[in-house]
Amino acid sequence: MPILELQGVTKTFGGLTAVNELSFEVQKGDILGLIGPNGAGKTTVFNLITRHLNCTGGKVIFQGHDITNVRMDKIISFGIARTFQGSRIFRNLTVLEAMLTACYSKRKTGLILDLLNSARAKNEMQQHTEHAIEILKFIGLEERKNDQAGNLPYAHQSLVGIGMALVAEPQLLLLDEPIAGMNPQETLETMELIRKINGRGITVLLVEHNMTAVMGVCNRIVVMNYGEKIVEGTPGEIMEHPAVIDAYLGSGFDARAS
Amino acid sequence: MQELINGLVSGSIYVLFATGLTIVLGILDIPNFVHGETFMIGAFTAFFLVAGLGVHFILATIIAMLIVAVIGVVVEKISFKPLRGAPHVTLLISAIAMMLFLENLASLLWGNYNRTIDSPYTKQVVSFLGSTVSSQRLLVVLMAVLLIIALQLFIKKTKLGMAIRAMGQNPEVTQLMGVSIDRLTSFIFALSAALSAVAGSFLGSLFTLNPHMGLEPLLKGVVILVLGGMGSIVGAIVGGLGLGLVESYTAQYLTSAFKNSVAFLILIIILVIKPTGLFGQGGDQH
Amino acid sequence: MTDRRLRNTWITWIIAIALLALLPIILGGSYILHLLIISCIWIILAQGLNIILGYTGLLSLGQGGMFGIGAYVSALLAVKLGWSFWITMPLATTATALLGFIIGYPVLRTRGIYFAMVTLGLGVILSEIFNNWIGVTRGPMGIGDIPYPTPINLGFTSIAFDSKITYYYLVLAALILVMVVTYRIAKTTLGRALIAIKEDEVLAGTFGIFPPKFKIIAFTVCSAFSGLAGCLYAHYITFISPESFGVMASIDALVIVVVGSAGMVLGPALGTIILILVPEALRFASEYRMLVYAVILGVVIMYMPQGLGCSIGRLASKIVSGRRVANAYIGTSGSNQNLRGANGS
Repeated sequence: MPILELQGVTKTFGGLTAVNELSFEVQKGDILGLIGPNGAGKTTVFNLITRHLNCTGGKVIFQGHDITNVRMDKIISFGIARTFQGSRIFRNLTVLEAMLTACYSKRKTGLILDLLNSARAKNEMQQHTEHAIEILKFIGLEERKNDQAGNLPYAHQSLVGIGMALVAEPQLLLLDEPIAGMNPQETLETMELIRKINGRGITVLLVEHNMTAVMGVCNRIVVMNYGEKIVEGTPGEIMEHPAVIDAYLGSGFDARAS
Repeated sequence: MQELINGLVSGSIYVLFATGLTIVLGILDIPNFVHGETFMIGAFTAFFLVAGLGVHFILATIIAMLIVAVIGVVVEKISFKPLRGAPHVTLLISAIAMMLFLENLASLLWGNYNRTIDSPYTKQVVSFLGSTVSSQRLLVVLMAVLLIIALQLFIKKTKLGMAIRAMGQNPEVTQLMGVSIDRLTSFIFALSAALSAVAGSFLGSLFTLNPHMGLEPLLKGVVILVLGGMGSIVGAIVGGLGLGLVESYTAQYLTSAFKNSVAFLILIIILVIKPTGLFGQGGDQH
Repeated sequence: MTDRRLRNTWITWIIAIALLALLPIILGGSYILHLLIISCIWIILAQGLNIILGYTGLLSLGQGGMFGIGAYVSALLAVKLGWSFWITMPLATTATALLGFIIGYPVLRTRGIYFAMVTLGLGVILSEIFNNWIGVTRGPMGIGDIPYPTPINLGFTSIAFDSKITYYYLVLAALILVMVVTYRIAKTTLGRALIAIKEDEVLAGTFGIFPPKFKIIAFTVCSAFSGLAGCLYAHYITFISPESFGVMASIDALVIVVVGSAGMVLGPALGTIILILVPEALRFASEYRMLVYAVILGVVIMYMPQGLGCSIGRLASKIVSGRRVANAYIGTSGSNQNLRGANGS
């Protein structure tokens, strides 16, 4: 059974169709790349899955649950976490505080017990801190834990975004252009990180413009153009596919693609 | 009938006041709460010109506009320019500081009592649509109409007006057009303050003026802005006249005690139904 | 390490409370006592605003109205029904909190400048109700002869609250309660969720924090503090009239929070000290007081938009980290933790 399934998902803004009858499946353990020229509707698909936008039509099924109409803040407790383009993070918090904030959905103690400083709440806080430190080690930012997140170099901010998603212990992780703005060295490290994340048993859905990274890290790829799926297959199949070459060359995709 | 005239008269003053408020918010994205104080200073300037120097009311109003325009520019330089790009909340607090300063300075200098601006037209009466109206009230409505038409023509037809509109949409374009943003900002503040000064002078000639007169029109202006949409001059006209009429009729048929509440109740209901304002394009979303 | 830190925190608290309790004895004088009582009440009121503005990032300009609700509810129950302060105080606080909870739901749909405007409107409406519902509030004439809290009988002795000194200990107790609640909120999940909402509502939602829920909690707590402050004010001054609860009261609270540093537990205390005690200490004639306020507010927002508390905190951490470097401690200092201002969003 697929972990995530999109069934004829459609999104229109006014008269404009951003996503049209899109269907694809993500299998457990996949690193699935979602690619396409600018404006193809990739980020919109993310926003539809995580309920930042309402679907105009179609269904999103996650592990057998229909999550098409679930409230946005409930998505994380289903086991879906995401990052945003341009490393949207809590800029004025320290890295550790940002990570602890992202632990919110793991919380089992009620707000009142927490306020009363109960032993259980203290215990849980301790656990969360340890967990956050563990994730920070995993993404290689442990030494930066007390720095203000917004003051970190760009590549590190992107990692904080990924780290925040990881502390919530998702089963499916949606990464929206995690590599944008990184130098080649950082790109390689982040690709490795994505593989390591996948190695922890987390399924990854990746939107990325850097073709080398996508081809190198994904085991399957869905190509979109004008809000529709044009091809789906392994990186090898995708690279050879005439429709893909057409879509990219036709829309003036930059030289990075080749 | 009398209610209609009352509504139109106070509506005209609201329109002048709110137009100034709305161009600063719409074009510069600055919540200029000092507007009520430039209004108050406008009223006092006109008063002293008339009472102290014996200047004619209309001339006094025009001089007050010019003086207050300069004050408006100074206010922008002190309270808003150093905070360019800061969040609305910060700008609002800076505005409140200036507001408190001017209000209390005026109260120290001029005392906390009511005065009225003398105008030769106050005692003249004309009959209008079956009712008797003082000429001063007609003059206020007439001048408000003329000023608003002039403003519209200016914004729509002149090069400077076009630059102002362009700035509202995209400040960078304005820079490309070769217009200095600093100077344009000063100009918009001058224009806005001048409008508040006319409104103040008119109000002071029909009713009374005192150092604390700025708060109420400011509150009303805020309501009108939300009703008419931030930055829309047409919205300010419709909202201002609408509010003037609603107030006049509720004062007549319901109660005059809750005059301000009526305005704010409308505002709250609108914002609760549509949290970004009646014609809002989103407002503060960051 | 944590044990020692914990003990240090406790010691700090105890020293602070002991100092505050001894203040009247150290400073003495009925006028000083009066200023201390008023300051405590203002800190409580401003702390309410701090919760909604400093932690949640929403500028409420209706604080004065909520202050009035607490005062009127308690005063009316005491004067008209003759109920004891010890019943009217919790009732007034709860009533104000309830009002915040009920109007919070629709009002909190708005944000940014619109929220400021709606709350400003609420303040104006409440103040007109105080002024015009003459049958109940007696309008501009106000309500007088509000009783002092009834004495507490301890068997061997009874504590009366008709003197300034006992009233000071009463408001001090309320203040400590409010500070502890705020401190706990700031330290725990609730505070973290509120700050997350201030920082980025959508991002907060992504991590499971449902913003409307937390905004309502914050607004309710804010209202409760304001109501408590209003009640304490009414039973101290023993006379209330609408002019104490208008837009100016909201602005006073705002000035206190911003000057002291929004988003800091101690911010309102610092703000109150500066804005109430400094002008008094300098013996400014009362007509210059508002002018001084305006200048202080303007200068602070211009040069220290995060407030004085934040600047002091930064300075302190600089000194601390400087000493660390001197001790050849390598690594970065956790500088401005918890020192964010209202304007970070």
